Amino acid sequence: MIALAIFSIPLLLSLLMFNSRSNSNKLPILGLTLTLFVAIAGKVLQAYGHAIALDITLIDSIGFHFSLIMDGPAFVMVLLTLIAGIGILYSIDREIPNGNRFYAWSLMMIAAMLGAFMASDALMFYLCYEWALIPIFFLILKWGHGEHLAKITMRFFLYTLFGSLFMMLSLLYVHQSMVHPTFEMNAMWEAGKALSAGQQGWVFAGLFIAFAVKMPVFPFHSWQPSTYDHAPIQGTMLLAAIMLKMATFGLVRWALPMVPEGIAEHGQWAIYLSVISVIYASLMALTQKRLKLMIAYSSVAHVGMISAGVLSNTDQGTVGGIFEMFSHGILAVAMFAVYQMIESRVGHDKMNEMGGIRTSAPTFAFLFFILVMGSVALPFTSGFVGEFLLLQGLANVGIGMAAFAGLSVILGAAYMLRGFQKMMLGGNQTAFASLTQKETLILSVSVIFVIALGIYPNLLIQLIQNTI
Amino acid sequence: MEKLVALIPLFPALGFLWITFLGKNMSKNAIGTLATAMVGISFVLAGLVFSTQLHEGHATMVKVFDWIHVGSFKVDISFIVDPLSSLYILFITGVGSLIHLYSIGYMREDEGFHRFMSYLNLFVFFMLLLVLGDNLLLLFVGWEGVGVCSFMLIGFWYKEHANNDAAKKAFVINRVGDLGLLLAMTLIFIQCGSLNYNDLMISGGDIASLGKWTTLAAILLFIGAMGKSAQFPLHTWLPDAMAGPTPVSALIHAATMVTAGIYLVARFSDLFAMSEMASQVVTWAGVITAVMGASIALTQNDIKKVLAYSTVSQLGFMFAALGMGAYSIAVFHVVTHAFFKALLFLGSGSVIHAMGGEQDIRRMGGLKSHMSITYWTFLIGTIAIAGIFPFAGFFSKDQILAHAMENNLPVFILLMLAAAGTAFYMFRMFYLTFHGEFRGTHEQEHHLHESPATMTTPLIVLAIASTVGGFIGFPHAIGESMHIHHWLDHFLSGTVVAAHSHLDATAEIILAIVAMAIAGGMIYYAYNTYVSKGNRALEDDEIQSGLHQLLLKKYGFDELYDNIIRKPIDYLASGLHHWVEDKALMNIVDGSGSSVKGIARLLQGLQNGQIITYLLAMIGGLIALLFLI
Repeated sequence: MIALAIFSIPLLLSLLMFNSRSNSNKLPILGLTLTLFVAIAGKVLQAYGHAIALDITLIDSIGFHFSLIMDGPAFVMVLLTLIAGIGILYSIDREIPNGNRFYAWSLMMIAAMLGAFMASDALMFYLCYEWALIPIFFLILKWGHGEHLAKITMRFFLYTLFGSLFMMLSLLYVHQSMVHPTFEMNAMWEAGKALSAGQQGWVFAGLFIAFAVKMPVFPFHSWQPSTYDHAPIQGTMLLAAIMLKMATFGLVRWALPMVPEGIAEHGQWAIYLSVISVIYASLMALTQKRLKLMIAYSSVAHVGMISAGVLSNTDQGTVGGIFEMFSHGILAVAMFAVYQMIESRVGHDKMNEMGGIRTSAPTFAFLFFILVMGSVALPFTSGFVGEFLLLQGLANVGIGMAAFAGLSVILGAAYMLRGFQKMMLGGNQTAFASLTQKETLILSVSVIFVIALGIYPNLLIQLIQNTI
Repeated sequence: MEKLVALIPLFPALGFLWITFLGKNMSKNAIGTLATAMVGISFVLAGLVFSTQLHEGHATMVKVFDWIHVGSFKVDISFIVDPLSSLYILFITGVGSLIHLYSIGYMREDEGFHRFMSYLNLFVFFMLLLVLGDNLLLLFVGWEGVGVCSFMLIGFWYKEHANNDAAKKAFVINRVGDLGLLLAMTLIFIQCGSLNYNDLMISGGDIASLGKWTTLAAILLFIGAMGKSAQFPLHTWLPDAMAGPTPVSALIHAATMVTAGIYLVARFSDLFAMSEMASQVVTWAGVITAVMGASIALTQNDIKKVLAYSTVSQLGFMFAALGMGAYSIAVFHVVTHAFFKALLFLGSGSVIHAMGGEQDIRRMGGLKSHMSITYWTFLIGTIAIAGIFPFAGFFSKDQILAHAMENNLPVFILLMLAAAGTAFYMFRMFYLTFHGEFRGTHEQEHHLHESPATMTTPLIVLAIASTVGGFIGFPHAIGESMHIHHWLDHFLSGTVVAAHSHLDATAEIILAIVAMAIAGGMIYYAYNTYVSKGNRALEDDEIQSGLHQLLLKKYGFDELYDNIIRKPIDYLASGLHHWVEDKALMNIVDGSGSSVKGIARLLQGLQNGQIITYLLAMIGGLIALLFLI
């Protein structure tokens, strides 16, 4: 029942917000904080032997269950969703027009994502995965900005919707191969593994295309930069910090256990594609003149690394992947918050036209620098633990592959430091008001996460490896 | 006693945190004292740990906590106390605390004094982690940490973009090396199943499981060392790094961080000893760097640039020694070099301080009479690096040369050449700075003064160390034979593969005399040119000789890398951006007429608020489909 509560508190709150006139973010934040407490309490109770999973049969004939579990990986993703969600809503520092609807859609999206992370039924995963699209679609369309907003939103929507159909086909293929068809997780895994390697390869291909669009991985990423650019900043954060993790998580939860042979024997192309994506996106980041787009491409590079490492199907790759999903989620919220702080003060985010911000805002510069270091995966930051384990996993596929993907270590330092240097250092000085208390708090908490998990990663690693 | 080792990195870390979070209202004196004391306490502890090693000399591990445990991958925050690490921590904290003390005087007028001292403390913390970690991953933490501190300190005066560019260059080039080290770790873990020195070498010997990957792993490790220790072809960042304040150049870019590469190779001496090819690569990279650095230093006129190329060159000597299997001799040279090079940098800082920021030796001259402590200590440093008996540099350099003579004649000849060059460029700089007539402005001349005691005290201590420091190399030597009992060699023998030298005592004495005669000749030549004849160094536009210009331009490596690496990557990136990102991919998505129309139609539907109907229809349809199956 606790799993149900985690799923339904944000959902009920969302429905409530649709019918409320409140423009304040207090209630949504309170609701998510409550959910976070419930989730942690649930996990503690689980450790003492209480069952918190839920399984309700919805359509018996096809074996469709409303079933939620909270094993290690699911719990970590739930934590990320709630922590990042609270941070995203907290970062709002101005009145939003039609605020009640904005919060309602955000909460609904969070509920859908929680459902996808906790689902132990393939159809339920699929439905939540798709459902999350609807709220973000409206968030971007109604609260986004820019000339071609409608066209860009539509492209994003259709592209990801189209991609997901391949996942549906793959899941149905596995489903119909059973004697007594069911979408239940373990049965799906077993049925998948019973397929021949060739069949598994096709099933994997369908899954991967769907996930590749969402993550995104080159060449399926072309919806992403413009969508990130035109979405309201909280929408961008929701996309980058949490939503794309449904895809990388999907690889861990559904692809690896279901079609391991297909990946090992016919899935090399997906690893190649992910690694190419890492380098391609790093090069794109190198050419960007605007901070927001640079962060967007850097996100593509990080996600490509997660995908490549996870597909190595090793302990290090899987654990490192989930670790990096969490770490990247926190960093994505923080980096886009940094963008927001700069943009709202300077009026634009063209890096060449700024300079010397450090002199007027030393605390901001200090916190931003640590985030940059987290992003370039410096040891003793959370980014390092994730990327190192992923690289370690990838090296099992081939040391050459690890070396090629590892070039992002150099390119990442180059574009991140260049951006930092242009905006923050130098003699000419862009006027910059000091951070508000709220802004300082957001960045400080992110920095604490980044460093604490870098110095004592076992905290999270043990949660991930918890298989109850 | 070994348990104390966990406290050694702790104090500088506390210093950093204290100054960063509680130091806002503290006076400069209090900050300076705090920062220096933190490293000083570590020095005392390091001394205690070192003394236990003198008696026992075996490796002890001190585990602090579990770090990353994933499946079979287990790495902890855990320290190693053995002769190699205890020697390193001793000179890091010793030289480190002197440089902290010096900085109190040198940086006093700087508005960023707090920041500066906190970064120095943080640097010492990471440097200690680097050498104390009992596994390769913890070494990597320190490795990257000192890199970041180096970045922050090179660009310390961040309002000048030239400094920021130098800082970024250092970081990015180091990352090339870091990738090598990362891949080496990955390879070693996959093949050997551990990253702990204990499993790999000390008691396990698992490093042998590398098999056919041995050479590759060694070369990848060495690529890491090349970045950090500025070896050809990754040497170009170090001279630019002189943009940082002079104490930084002394601490990070001469005495400690740049010798991390030597530590790494010495630590993995078991691995390098197994691969002849990797050892050859190390030797030749070192020899090329030694000769190249010395030749460029002949023509430089910036006092810190001369010392920077000298450092590059001396590091080359150390790698040449490592490549020839003389691991403990390389470590010996690291220690003596730390003394005399820190001394020289701090001395140059004292000169720059007196000159009001001027660094060009063509604008100096005759400083001897104005600053006698700086003069005499600088002279000791210069003699020590030139390799004159009985100063520190003589012993270590002579052993490298002796080892080369025995093993590899071409290497020996080239190193002799570099050593001769060293004596010349050092004394050229020395005479141009301290002798002759003052060539600066009247205002500068009026300003000349000896530095305060916080600065001269470290100079004196380091001058003493540079004078007697060489005797750790062979305490029994004088009076018995030149080749008895290399104390350091023996001390380190439990940790690194021992060097086997069969050169007999007579040959070694003859070599020492010849080497000193050459150095003496070079010193005389420099004296004759710049003091007796009173020649001055040429201004840049007076230089006619092509070779001279080539050297002045540092063989054009910066331009070369710009043309063959940076520009192609930029072209590739902007080409991909234009043709693939903006054209090809967009056309696939939006291009075909029908899809545009399709979007338009959907948009109309959207405007009527119908999109939700589409979605519901789709999901409903899917579920209906499922019922049919």
